[in-house]
Amino acid sequence: MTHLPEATLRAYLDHALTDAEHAETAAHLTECAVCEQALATLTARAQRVNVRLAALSPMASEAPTPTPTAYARLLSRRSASRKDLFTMFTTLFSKRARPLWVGLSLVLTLIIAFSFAPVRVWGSEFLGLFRVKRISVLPVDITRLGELNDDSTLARRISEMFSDSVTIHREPTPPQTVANAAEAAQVTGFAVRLWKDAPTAPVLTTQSGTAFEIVVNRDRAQAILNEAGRSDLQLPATLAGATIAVDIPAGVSAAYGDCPRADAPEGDAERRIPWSRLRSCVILAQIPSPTVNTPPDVNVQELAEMGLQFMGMTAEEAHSLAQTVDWTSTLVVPLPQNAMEYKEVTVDGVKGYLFYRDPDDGVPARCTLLWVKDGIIYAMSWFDEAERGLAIANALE
Amino acid sequence: MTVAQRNARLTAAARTQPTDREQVFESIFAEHYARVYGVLFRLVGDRAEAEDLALEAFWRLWERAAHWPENMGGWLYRVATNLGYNALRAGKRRAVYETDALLPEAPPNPELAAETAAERQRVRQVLEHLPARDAQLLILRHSGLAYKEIAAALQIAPASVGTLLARAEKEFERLWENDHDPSA
Repeated sequence: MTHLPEATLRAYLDHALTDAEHAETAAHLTECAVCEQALATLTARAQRVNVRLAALSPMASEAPTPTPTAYARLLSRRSASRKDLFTMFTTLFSKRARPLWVGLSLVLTLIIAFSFAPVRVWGSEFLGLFRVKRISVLPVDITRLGELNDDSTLARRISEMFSDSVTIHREPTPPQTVANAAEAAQVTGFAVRLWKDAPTAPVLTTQSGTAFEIVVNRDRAQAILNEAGRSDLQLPATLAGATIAVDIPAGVSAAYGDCPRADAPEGDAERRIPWSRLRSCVILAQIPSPTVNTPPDVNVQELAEMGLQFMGMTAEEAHSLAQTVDWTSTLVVPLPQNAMEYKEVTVDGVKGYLFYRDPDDGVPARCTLLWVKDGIIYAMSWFDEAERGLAIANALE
Repeated sequence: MTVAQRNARLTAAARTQPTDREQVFESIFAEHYARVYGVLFRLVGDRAEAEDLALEAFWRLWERAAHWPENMGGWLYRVATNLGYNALRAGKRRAVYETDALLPEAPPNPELAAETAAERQRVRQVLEHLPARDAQLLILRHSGLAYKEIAAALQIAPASVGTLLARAEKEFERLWENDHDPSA
């Protein structure tokens, strides 16, 4: 008697055979003790393995976010599609710091009444940008926000509020690899600058940018504030129904050395480059300033003050700080105290900021430089010594 | 019309129509999100990370909207299991994640939770040491994918799923037993 192959027996066990095959196998098993024994062995082993694997199943408390909410999150991520440019920011604001950004995005919600999921954070999510001329770092005391971090319902409600009120006018398209700076300039419409004397040719990727509008639902935003225990902060009535138009132009990123590639093919192994090789990686991103239009009767400074209070400042502190910043031309980067070091530097002939995170857990030190020159925002990230990157940034062509 | 038929029809339409593309994508998301999450959670053991990776997989699918693969489900599970398996291997902080994951709901018996965490860690350690395909096969099957779906995800012949699954189980068990014997 010919015995059944293991493939058939295993599939039989899982009811994965066609009805005819199943019946045929069952008939054979009644007559063949060898196959019956083989099936018993397979069954016992499959059961033992299943018991082990069952430990990994999500428990009730580990169930996923409801699908519609998850979809809303994905949509907001999509509408904020500026993937490559954020690689450095996801590095900068690592997973460990992420819950904090949920809280922060809540704050920024108030400042300009728009925000996105707290992943892939970029400037316009920090604050309403009108036309960026300068950058300012705002160290924030996060103790207050810490309480909100755990409140995922609140974060979800914020994310839902945005996905309900966004209209996309220019859909972002997938990133595109271009051959050289001239081609990148042609795609994006601005003069692209590169690292002079780079040891390797860069991989140049253009991002399409996007344009969208948000109609503010003041009552809903206020309800969220109330729910967060801050009914003392009353959003101005002028905010109701205000349309905020955001236009994010196309940008370019140049990746030198062994960098994680955002457009890696589906196999994606190359996305996970050993940290030791990442030392050769330098990413230079450039994007013309996004523009944000708000109705003239929306008082941005008032909203900024409210946002600062929400972050834990007293009304007086918030008021005096809000006065010192020109909110219509400054990209304000709220930085949790102790999250990383930063300092003001002169780079590319202008004032910029260097963010530095110490090496830890086998990961080399991570540095990011941020500066604005002639209406273009530059962000450069690299690993290891800060000086090396500064030298590169000072010699862009 | 079944969901699969509807999707097939929509997929064909979507190659030219952006509006349909949106519809297809949303229906694919609705159909697969929870299960993609389940696959990833089993691999990484952290709710936030699993959700993030699940969105990442869908994100990549969206990015390919102009050239969607014929079998979007298969493509999705392939990308998701690759992401999950890589994260599993990269996940030095696994133990921490697991502790965190158990925190939100205080278990009636803390001993039990610690045991579950330890068990999970051991199972993942074994998966981590299995060849990628074996680990992915076991997780996909345990997440409830049919043989045909597994075959599409792992790009193997449907007829060989049974053999490979049996082999993966054998190997899992061998490593599990070795794990109990530190000298092995």
